[in-house]
Amino acid sequence: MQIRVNGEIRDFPEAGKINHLLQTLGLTLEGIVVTLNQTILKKTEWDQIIIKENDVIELISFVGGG
Amino acid sequence: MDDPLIIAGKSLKSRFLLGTGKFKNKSELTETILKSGAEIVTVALRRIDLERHADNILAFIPENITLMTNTSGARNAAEAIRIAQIARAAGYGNWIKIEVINDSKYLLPDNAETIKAVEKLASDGFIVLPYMNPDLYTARDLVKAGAAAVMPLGSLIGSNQGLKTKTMLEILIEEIDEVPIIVDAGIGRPSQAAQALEMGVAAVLVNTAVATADQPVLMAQAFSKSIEAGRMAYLAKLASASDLASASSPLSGALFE
Repeated sequence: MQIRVNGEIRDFPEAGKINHLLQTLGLTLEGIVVTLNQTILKKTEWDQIIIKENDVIELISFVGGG
Repeated sequence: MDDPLIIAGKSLKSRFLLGTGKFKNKSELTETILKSGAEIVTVALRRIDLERHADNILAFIPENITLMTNTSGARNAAEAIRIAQIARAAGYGNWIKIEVINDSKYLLPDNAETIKAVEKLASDGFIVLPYMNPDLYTARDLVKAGAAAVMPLGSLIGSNQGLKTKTMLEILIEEIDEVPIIVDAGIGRPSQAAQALEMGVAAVLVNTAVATADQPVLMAQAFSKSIEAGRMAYLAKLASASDLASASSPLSGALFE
């Protein structure tokens, strides 16, 4: 199935969860925020929520800034 | 000298807030923060680049430093509010620098949208420090909206031009007593930071001048000393200036009279 991650369409297996996506992308789990269809997810939800077709996910982290 | 800076009830020894952008060498950032003495540093939030994972900036920030998330990238109040909520959800506290900009040439803050964002976020329990164009009415509105400090620009972001807004800053210093005034943006040299503190601003936020110096660690130390010196001069109350000379040595009893 297809999902949109940080603006780009990606293939992702059915029934995968948020933490599965993060692992697939090789992301460390510290200091990351995930939004799913505009909703900000709690970290405790990452291994609970199953990603569905056409879901829009944003993966956000801290960078240097003024 | 016991002269803490109090922001939202938090007592700070340092009047130097440091931005973490533009550092060429991230590992140098840690030492720069430590040597600066800064207790509050700013960070920003961005989409993760999935092709090229950047280093996690948080890994380079020493413990016991308060992170203040800048809402940079926000073009209006709603976007700034959203960024603040994301920062809090990440679990790194509730200190927010509101920066709302929709002009890409001068990067000037949008005061009206900034007031709206402060109102909402302060009522939601955030500690909100708005970056602003130094305007008295805006500063009063920001205080009324619940800002923990006001952060007027000295000159354009990243321009290193110093205190081009000096007259307006002096008005804010004179009129705004309720919250600290922190000059944010434009300070390019330690002497300009000293000048700001001498004038009576409570603190300065510096990024570009340190991060893009040839030796950021040394420059951070230079700023730290100048900020301390400026504050001490303010507390000592400056002697008055005069158009005419005034001899420093006694005028009578000269050897060749």
